[in-house]
Order: sequence, then C-alpha cells, then structure tokens
Amino acid sequence: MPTYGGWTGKTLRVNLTTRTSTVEATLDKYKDFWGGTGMGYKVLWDEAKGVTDPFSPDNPLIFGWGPLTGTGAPCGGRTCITSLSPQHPYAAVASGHMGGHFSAEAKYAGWDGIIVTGKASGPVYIAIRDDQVDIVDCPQLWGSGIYRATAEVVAAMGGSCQVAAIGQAGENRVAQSVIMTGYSHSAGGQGGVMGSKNLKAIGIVGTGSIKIAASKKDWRALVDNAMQLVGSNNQAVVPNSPQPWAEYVSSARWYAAKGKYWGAANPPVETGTCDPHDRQSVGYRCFKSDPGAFAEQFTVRMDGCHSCPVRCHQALNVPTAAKWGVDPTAANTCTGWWGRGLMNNAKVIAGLSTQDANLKTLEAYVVGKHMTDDFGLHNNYGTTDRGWAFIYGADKGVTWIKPNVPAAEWTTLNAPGGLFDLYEKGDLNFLMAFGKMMAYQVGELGKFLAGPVEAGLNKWQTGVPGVTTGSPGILAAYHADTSVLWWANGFPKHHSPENGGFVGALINTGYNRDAQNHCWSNYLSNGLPTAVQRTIADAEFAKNGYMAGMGAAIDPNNTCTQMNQQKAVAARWAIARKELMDSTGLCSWMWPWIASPLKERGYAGDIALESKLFSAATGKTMSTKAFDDEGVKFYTLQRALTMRSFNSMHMRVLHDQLPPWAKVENHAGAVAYMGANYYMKSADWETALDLFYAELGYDQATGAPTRATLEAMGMTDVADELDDLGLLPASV
Amino acid sequence: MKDVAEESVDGAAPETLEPEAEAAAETAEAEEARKLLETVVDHIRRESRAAHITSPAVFAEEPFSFEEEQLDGVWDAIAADPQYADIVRTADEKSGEEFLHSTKYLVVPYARLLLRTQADDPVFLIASTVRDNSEIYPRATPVTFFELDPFNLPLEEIFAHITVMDGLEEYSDIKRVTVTNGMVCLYSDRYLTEPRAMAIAQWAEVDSHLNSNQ
Ligand code: SF4
Repeated sequence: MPTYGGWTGKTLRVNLTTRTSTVEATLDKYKDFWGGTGMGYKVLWDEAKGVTDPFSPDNPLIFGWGPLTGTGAPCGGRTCITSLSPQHPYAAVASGHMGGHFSAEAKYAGWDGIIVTGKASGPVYIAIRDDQVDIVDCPQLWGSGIYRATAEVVAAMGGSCQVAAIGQAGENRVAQSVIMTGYSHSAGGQGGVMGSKNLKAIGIVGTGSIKIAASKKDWRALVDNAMQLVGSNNQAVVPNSPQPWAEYVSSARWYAAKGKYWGAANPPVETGTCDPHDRQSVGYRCFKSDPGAFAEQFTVRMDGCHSCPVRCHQALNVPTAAKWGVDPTAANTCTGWWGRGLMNNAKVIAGLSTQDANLKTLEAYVVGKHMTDDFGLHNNYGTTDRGWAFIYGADKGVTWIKPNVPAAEWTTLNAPGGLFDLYEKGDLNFLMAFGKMMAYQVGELGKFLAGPVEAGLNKWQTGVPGVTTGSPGILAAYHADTSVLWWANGFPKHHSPENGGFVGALINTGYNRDAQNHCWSNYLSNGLPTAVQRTIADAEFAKNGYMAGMGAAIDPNNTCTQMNQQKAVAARWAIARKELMDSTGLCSWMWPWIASPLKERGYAGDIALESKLFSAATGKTMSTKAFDDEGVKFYTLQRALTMRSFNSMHMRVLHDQLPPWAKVENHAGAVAYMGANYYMKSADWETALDLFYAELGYDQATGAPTRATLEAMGMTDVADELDDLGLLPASV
Repeated sequence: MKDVAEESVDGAAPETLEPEAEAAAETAEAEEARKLLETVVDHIRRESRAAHITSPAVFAEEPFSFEEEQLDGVWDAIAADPQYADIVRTADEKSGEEFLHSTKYLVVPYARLLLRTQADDPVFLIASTVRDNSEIYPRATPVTFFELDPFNLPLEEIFAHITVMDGLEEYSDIKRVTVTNGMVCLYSDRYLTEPRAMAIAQWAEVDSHLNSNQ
C-alpha cells in the first residue's frame, strides 16, 4: 500500500452499544471510496444490509470528509453525514452536509472519518482528543438545546474544541432534524439518527497537521491559482450592481458594492468595488443579506467555514430581538434563516410604521434562527413551512387535506395563547411555540410536522371524494397536485428542472432527498450572459476530454429546451462532481469553477482544479476524466444502496419519475421548449432517461447499473450481492 | 552633415547647433514628450480608478494647458504603444463626443453607462440600458436597477420616466412585465418575447430567492 498525503490513514469507529472505539486503516478499507459520502456509502453497503428502520442501532451514522479537508484547499470545510434516512419513505440512503470547522479539527486530531454504530444505554457524548477517544455520560445534557450542549462540551474539552450536536428534535427522533456545528452549520435529516443512538454530541480537539504530497511551492502555486479564479458565493463571477471594473452586471451572489457596509462592525466596513484581481477582497464579495438591505446596518461581518475565503454566513446583531428572549446576535445563511418564513409577514407587521415593520421582520429572522438551531429542526427546503401551511389551511378550511386529529387539539391551538392565536396576532412567540410542538412531537400535528411527509399524509384523511385515510390515493392525489412542488420520494423542488431543464431534472432523479447538487445550478446562476456561458462550456469540457459543444447543454434558469446528448453528459458530470466534492471535503456550494471573474481569461475557470488539488495533496495523480469517473463510481454505489432499500431494481418507474408539475401536459396552454417555462414533455423525459442511463452505463429498462458497469468500476461484490437479492438487471 | 544654416531662406541668422547639442535638444524634446504622455496617461488612469471618464478637452485647459499639436503626439503615442493598450476612447451614443478611460479600472460597458447618466436624458438612459440587458444576457431589467450607482435615480422618478417613454414611438419596443412580488421589469421586444421575459424575470426577482441555493 503506497503512502499518500491528504489522508491521515486512520478512521475512527465507535460502537456505542459496547462503548468501545477502534481504529481502521482508511486506505485498506476505504481506498476506493476516499471519504465523505463515498466512505459513507461503502460503510452502509457493507453493514446496513437488511436494515429498514433508520432509528435502528444497526443503521451506521458516518461523519465523513476527505483528503482535501484541513489542507488549506479553498472552500474545504464541509462535513457529510450519511446514513439511512428517516426523511425517506423507504429509509433509503441520504446525506446531510454541514460546514464550520468540525471536519478540519477531526483531521488535525488524526481522523479521516468517524463511523458511529450501535446505541448507548443512556445519553452520551464522544470526546475526541487526538488519539484519545472517550464516551462520556451526559444525562444532564439530554433535553437541552444545541446551544447549551455545545457550550458544555466546549467547556469540558477546551476552547479549541469543535462540536457537532443535536437538539431536542434529534433526541425525539424528528425526521426533519439536524446535526449542527458552530451554532449555525447544520446537516439536515440525520439528527434523529444520532438521537436514536443516545448520542448528544461529538467534541473534537485536534493538535496535529496534514501531510501534503506535493512540495510546499507546488501546493502554494496551486492554491494561489485557485484563489485567482474564485468568485463569490456559488461561484458567482459577476457583481450584482454596476461596477467600474465589471463588463457585466447580474443578479448573482456578488453583493459587495460602493456604499454597502457591514454596518454593525466597529468601525463599519465598506465592502466596496472588489476588483477580482484583489484577493484580499474575496471575503467582502458575498455580502448576502438574506433578510434584505435593511439588515445591512445590523451586520457585524460575514462568517463561514474552515479555509473558505468566501464567507456566506451573515453575522447579525439586532439588539431589540432580545425582547423575545433570545440572543440578539445570530449568524446563518439562506434557509438557515427559515423560521421567520413560518409566519405571515402581513400579520407580523400589521399596524407598524415602515421602520418598526422592518425591525420586527428582522427580529423574526433572529428568533426563527435561534428556534430552529437550538431545537435542531430542519426546514428541508420548505417542507416544514408547507407542513405548517397545510395545518393552518386545514383549520381554516382552505386546503383539501384534512388532518385526522382529535378535536381537542384544534381547540388547544385556537385558545388564547395557543399557536393559532399567536400566529394571527403576528406575535413572534409563535416561533418558539411552534418549534416546541415540532421538536417534541406534541400531538398529532406535532408528529405530522416532525415525520417524513409521506407517512404523515398517509395518516391523514382528505377532502377528495373516495380517498380514505391511509390509502395510496391520498399520496397519489398529493403528488398529482401541480401546486405541490415535490418529487415522488417526498422531497421538495430545489435546483431541479427550474435550474437547467433536463439537466437539473436528471440530477434530481439521482437522490433520495433534494440532490444538494450545485455544480450545474451554480454555473447557470453565475451572472454571465448565456452566450458566454456556452462558449466557456464548449472549451472547458472539450479541453478535459468531454464531447464537443457542451454549451448546448445550457438552458437559462426557468427555461428548458429539448433534450440532447450534451445534457446527459452534463448531468452525469454534475452528479460525479457532487460526489467528488462530498468525498474530498470541498464545498459543493462553491465548486467546481467552470467560470472565473477574470475578463482576460474570457471568464473561463478551470474544471481540472479539483483533480489537480486532489493529485497534489494525495500524490495519487489523476486526470480530470479519471477523477470524474471515480465520482460516478461513488454515485453508483449510492444507487445500489437505493435499490436495496427499495428492494427493487426498477428505479426507472419507482424512483426516477418526473413529477406532475414539471410536465407540460399538466399546464393548460403552456408550450414546451419556447424559453417561457421549464416544463418538458413526458415522452421526452423518457428519452432523457435513456440517454442518461447510457452515459452512466445503466440498464435502460430498469435504470439499474449493469453487472458489466459494476465490474468495470471494481464493484464485483456489489454486483454479486445485487444478483443474490434478485436486483441485478439481466445481462443483454 | 549639412549645415542647416545654409538652407535658410529668409536671411535671418541661422541657428546652428553642434551635433551634441542637437542630440541633447532631441533628448530634451523626447523627454518632454514622454513626460507629457505620462501626465496624460496618469491622469486618465487615476480618474478611471475613481470611476470617472475623461474628456480629451481637459488637457487643453488648466492646469495642463497642452497644445493641440502636443496632444496629437500623445494620442499617436498611446495608439502605437501596447503598454497603453488600456487607454481607450468611448463615444457618447447621443453626441458622438469621445471620452478617455483606462479599461484596467473602468471598462467600456461601464463607461457607456456613465455617459448615459451624463446625457441628461433619463428616458434614453433607461431604454438603452434595458435594450442592452435584453440583448446581451438576455434578461429583463427590474426598475430598481436604476436606483443603483451610477444611475442613482429615485424610484418615483424612474416610473415617471417610464411613463414618458410609453408615449414615445422610438421606445415602443420597451415593454414591461410584473413578477409575483410586484417588481416591474422592463425588456425590449426586439430581443425577448413577453413569456420569456416573464420567465427570466420571475426567476431573477422571486424564484431564485425561494429556491435558495443553500
Ligand atoms: S461558501 Fe459558505 S458553505 Fe461553502 S465553504 Fe464557504 S462559508 Fe462554507
């Protein structure tokens, strides 16, 4: 076995049932799967056979990162947490992803990953100080929120300690729950699995370092090169206001501008016009004020993950938020601020002056963030908001789904001080009350909000004539409702056909939750004119061994044109890259960099950068094409796991179906492929699947990988097991 | 070497220069030209860095007060030397008057926006920028775009200009769509159909935020 850089060489395994920890040689056991999701899939494949209950002690929980973690590779601070998912109707495999500093600290402690199995007899946390691993009883922390649990573990282990913890939601096995590090970086969906193991937290202190195979000079040059090509969040390469240096202006996430200040910094910091050649300005570019321009004056700084120059988390100080009983300081990003979205803003600001309305709305952001992040709840891209909307709508008689819950529950909610009462009054105390109901699964409605959507709906009755409680009819009716933007396996619309037409939709077929794949959507949203995007794609992909004319894969956001070969190639590439980011430790919200902000490069980035970083860090030299093939291998193991959970090889019909809302036939008067919508024709979707499966080497009839494909990827054991289970398509 | 004095035709006492002196004079002249060139280039670059374009006329005025002939030499030198390739002229679309700027700090499209803001014709500014956006990206332009620097137009004024625009035949290609959050976006039907403008604008103004990238 050659010695590689990048990896520490050791993976930690903790069995909570036996309260033991063991060390595995990473490159003996996981050398073909690297780390992160790749390692997670491999562990699940080997160890979760026959497991159908995500809360079973036999469901391993894998905290993974990769060989680039802790090396200083830009945007390299992510952690992937993989297990059989409580959010999925068949408990199929899924990963949650969190940033922060947890994975880098783990690497410095000497670990390439942490595999947690079994179930502790009572609440514990795992304390890791380099090689020393302790399982510490913590009954006093059970029932506490993430904030207190984190603070207590840090207090016990020392100030440099990084903690991943769950809140009450995870303890109570809420499907829509998170594991969180650094008070704002959350991995969605896996909190309940951690709770089912009686594992409250993992604390890590690492004092080591990472060996890099390349010389310091070469490594430095590579990182410098990457720093020249980096843009802003989501690799936006065009600012969103006119700036003297910028040829283009866009609505992309490059917000820094003259006169735009982190207003609560002391003294205030002007983000300014950030010339892309000035690498000191990278941290100013993404001044992504999710709560709106009003929040800029309350911004202390932008925050983010280990070795990320971009910083996409906004740190606020809103002193008046304290009156709702929360810390007035808060940091988060995007849907991390979701709590306030539960409330009806018109009710929140009713009767207030503009200034007061703006302030109360901002307070709702802060309260909502603290509610979700302390209880450890997961918004799941609108799932929870929609759940609440159903409940509210049902109470008011405006939704066709009628929750089958005791009348007393409605009465309690409508009583003075009850949830509906607070909601109607726009009282921000609603948020904590809501969080409590969900995190503790209070009543039937709390259970519905907390559980996987499909299971919840199954228990509900409906206003649709002839459809009874628990019948498949309610799910069919639900999925057929084109106003309900879900995929068949219970996850919401998020970077699917609206981001790239067929490419986005194909990417979304691949997973058992929203795909968490930004490789393609980032490129479409980088701010460059479509013509420039196409020119760059033509050149960048051809240069790296892909077919000519890859620009033909590009459809502007919210539009869709006819399927073609390039789109199948693009979808395969994006799926491969997502797995590669997740298995090397890079941020999939930033990488890959097809484009750059540099005019002199014609705005081209370099899609070979990740394979160059990987090769330099590990010493395992790999071409871009070979690198991408590895990503497809990881994905294919995920596919095999999914088939095992479905106990079916028929992915094409059971898993990869286009939802009704994406089909043009379901939208009266709409015309496909005219640039006015992202809808596609059902027949063309079948063509798209044929082309996509062909690219992946999968069987066209079933959408399952063939024996030949699995063997070519070195997974003969997977082919054999699928064969034994009757899940392998017949060889042609 | 010929004595230049021999060729004097007006009978005045010819100036005679020794070769060394002549060379020194040429050097001094070249040095002066170089200084002049650097002064001009420095000024243009400094102004560009401060997000300003430069009228060539300023160099004939105080504090420069350069002669036209001297400036012609400067323009020729700039055109001939690749180290000044960043110094370009962009014409005001309405008057045709040219302005100087360094593309190292201030690119042509931005210069064009500055010229439009200086033209004192906000209707033209809005319409021509909307056309550019519809053609180049393509995209519809939210009215709030014109609140940004360097336009800095108050929203009420923007709407007032759009109302004026509605009555002018030359801007009949400028159309509007309103997306679901109420934002009014402008587009040119030379480059975008209404349904396409709507789809793109809806994404940029509303759906991209709901579909949050994180
Ligand atoms: S872009 Fe945001 S999520 Fe990604 S590494 Fe940077 S701070 Fe973390």
